[in-house]
Amino acid sequence: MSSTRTPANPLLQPNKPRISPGIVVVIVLVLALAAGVGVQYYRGHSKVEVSSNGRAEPAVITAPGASGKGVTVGKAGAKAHIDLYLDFRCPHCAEFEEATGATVDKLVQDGTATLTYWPLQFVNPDASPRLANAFAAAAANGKALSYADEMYGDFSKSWTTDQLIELGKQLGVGDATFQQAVQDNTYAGWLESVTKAADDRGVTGTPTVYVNDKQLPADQMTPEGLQKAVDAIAS
Amino acid sequence: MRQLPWFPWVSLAARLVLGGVMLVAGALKVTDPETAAQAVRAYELLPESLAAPVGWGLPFLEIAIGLLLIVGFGVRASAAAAGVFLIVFIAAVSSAWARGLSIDCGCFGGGGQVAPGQTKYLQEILRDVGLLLLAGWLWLSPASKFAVAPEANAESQTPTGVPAS
Repeated sequence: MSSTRTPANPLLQPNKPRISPGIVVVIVLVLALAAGVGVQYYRGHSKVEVSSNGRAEPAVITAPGASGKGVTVGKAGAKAHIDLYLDFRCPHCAEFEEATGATVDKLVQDGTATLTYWPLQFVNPDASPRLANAFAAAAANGKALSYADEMYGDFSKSWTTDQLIELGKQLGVGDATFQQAVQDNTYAGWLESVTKAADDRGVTGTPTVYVNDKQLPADQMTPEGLQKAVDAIAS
Repeated sequence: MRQLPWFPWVSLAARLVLGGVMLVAGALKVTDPETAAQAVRAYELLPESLAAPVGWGLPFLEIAIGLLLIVGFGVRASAAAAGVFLIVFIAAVSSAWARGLSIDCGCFGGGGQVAPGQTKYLQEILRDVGLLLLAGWLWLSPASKFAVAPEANAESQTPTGVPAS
């Protein structure tokens, strides 16, 4: 916030009536906008730092690419199935991930539930498809959960193509095929089939969660609510 | 407008309230540009190429105007700029209400879709109208206590206020 210091300037020259305050106000506002542009640039060029490299990665059961099917991770044979409809640029999804991520991880980890990602791409038409495609490319290499977590974990980052590729490299999946897939938007067709499947199911927003085909009500979109819904099936 | 001795004190209060609200509103949004852009998109008024930059840029302008008002520099022009923003906000919220959208105004962060019964359009508009009245007062009576750049009131001054838009 470099703009915070700007209004103090006139203190240095208190008696210069020739410059009208109106002009200075306009200049301050332009500087504030410049600060905004600077931050925007930073968001697109800031370094990618993987926050949780040590966390366990569940196996990918269903890889991206199968038309109309999400990406499923976990242990085959789990009784509970969690369907998560998400958009990587949806603020509520980032909040949901932050609140329930640990609970979901645990359920998937101990084989209680499988988790199916249904990446939608409507929230930010400029960015959501790019992030969803990169997620698919990472999932194809077995890194679905980490890749999703990292993108949500640094939600304010722009996640440009370069940043997405860098994230892939840091997670150990950034080979040439991955880079090609990110650059060429390889999974666009599959993502469209996912969107269609979501529409057919009546999903109208993100995040939307189903536990064994029963939609989790809005007031149950909490770690406790999710745990309870899974417990009801697993026990 | 005849000046009374307590006018500068009212102007001081108006500066602090209007500036404080602008500063807080900007600061709460500036750290979360994706959410701010999403709040702008939810109004369905701007094309995508404009919605995102507005979401990112607006908080910076709000912070700048808020600070100018709080320290008391260029009060008349800053109040005019704040007034322009408030008129735009009131128009945008009214239009969302009239079109039957169910959104939060996103004035202080957040924003986007809410459940149909959860809208607060009337409160949001009344709050903005109240702030607009403060901006109008400051436009007419910018002379206030404890301003870093003391400003004369409207009559004694050639109109220098440039309404930033």
